[in-house]
Amino acid sequence: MLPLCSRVLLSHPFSPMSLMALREQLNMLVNSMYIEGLLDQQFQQLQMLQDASSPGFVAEVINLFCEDAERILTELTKDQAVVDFQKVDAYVHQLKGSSSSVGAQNVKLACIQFRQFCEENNKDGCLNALNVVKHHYYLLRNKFDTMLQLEQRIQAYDSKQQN
Amino acid sequence: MEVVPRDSGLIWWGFPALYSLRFLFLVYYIRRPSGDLLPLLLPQPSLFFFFFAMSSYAEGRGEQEIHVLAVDDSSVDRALIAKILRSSNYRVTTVDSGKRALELLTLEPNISMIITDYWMPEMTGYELLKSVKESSKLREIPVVVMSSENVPNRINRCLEEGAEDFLLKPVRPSDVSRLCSRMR
Repeated sequence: MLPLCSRVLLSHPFSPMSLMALREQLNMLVNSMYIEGLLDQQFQQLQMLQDASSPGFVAEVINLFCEDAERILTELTKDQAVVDFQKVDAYVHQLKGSSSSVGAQNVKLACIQFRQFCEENNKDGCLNALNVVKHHYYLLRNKFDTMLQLEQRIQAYDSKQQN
Repeated sequence: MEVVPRDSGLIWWGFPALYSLRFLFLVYYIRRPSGDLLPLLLPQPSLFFFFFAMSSYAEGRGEQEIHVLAVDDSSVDRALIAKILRSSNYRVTTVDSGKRALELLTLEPNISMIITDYWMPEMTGYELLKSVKESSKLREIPVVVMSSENVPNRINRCLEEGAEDFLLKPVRPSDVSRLCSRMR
């Protein structure tokens, strides 16, 4: 969990924080995500791929991941009365793939569990697993939202400095 | 007015900088009514050959762009593989299915490599690989297959069918850099 002072600062979007303070906040957020298992090494790979020629790469991948994940979770939430295990497995496989590529560790692990239940044709297990995946995904998405907001503020600060 | 046959010594004395081009031009003089000589520079036929040769040389020396086709139904994976390839200065086209890949291959003649995901709806990467290797036009293009699952049977099947390499996802820059020597 973020220390109290950071939480207070985050809840005041217009407080004139210095660039250094913003950067520190972003670093603390990302580090906490690694420590809590929300992110793994693959996210670091994405950060390393971002450079001067593509400053929005990480944000782009995060947005693509969120779009994809929400599309899949919506499909999985429909028609819970009848469970087509093959169809569900295919969706979860997709979500597992994109979460693995973005470094979303907890979501990926939850998907792996979910696929186990699909293979066993365990309907209750699947319904439970779906809730676990959603829980981890929405937690991650909240933090991604904060991360992207901080990045935007930092970039705005940078471009203001340059002008 | 009369045309006096060429006398290169006389003209080049006037224009020493042009001396090196003496083989490319025929020089004639026209004697004007007033009596003085007017030089006439006519291009030698060899000049045309010279320009033709120069332009072919320049074309041949131009950078041959390496164009990679990446096939994946996942938008996240497409963004990732495209970024890794572009960081190595390859030109990249991404498509989301085997069907679109085959369509593009009929239109684009100079694909240096195909990188495809294994698991795709409708046409798997294995089926795409087979189609490419069975086509007389396309079989020379190296095909690399990617998958998020480490299934030895699957890997062997792809390699037997003629895949150049098999990469485990998520793909990293180091995986791609070892492919550069296999590009066509």
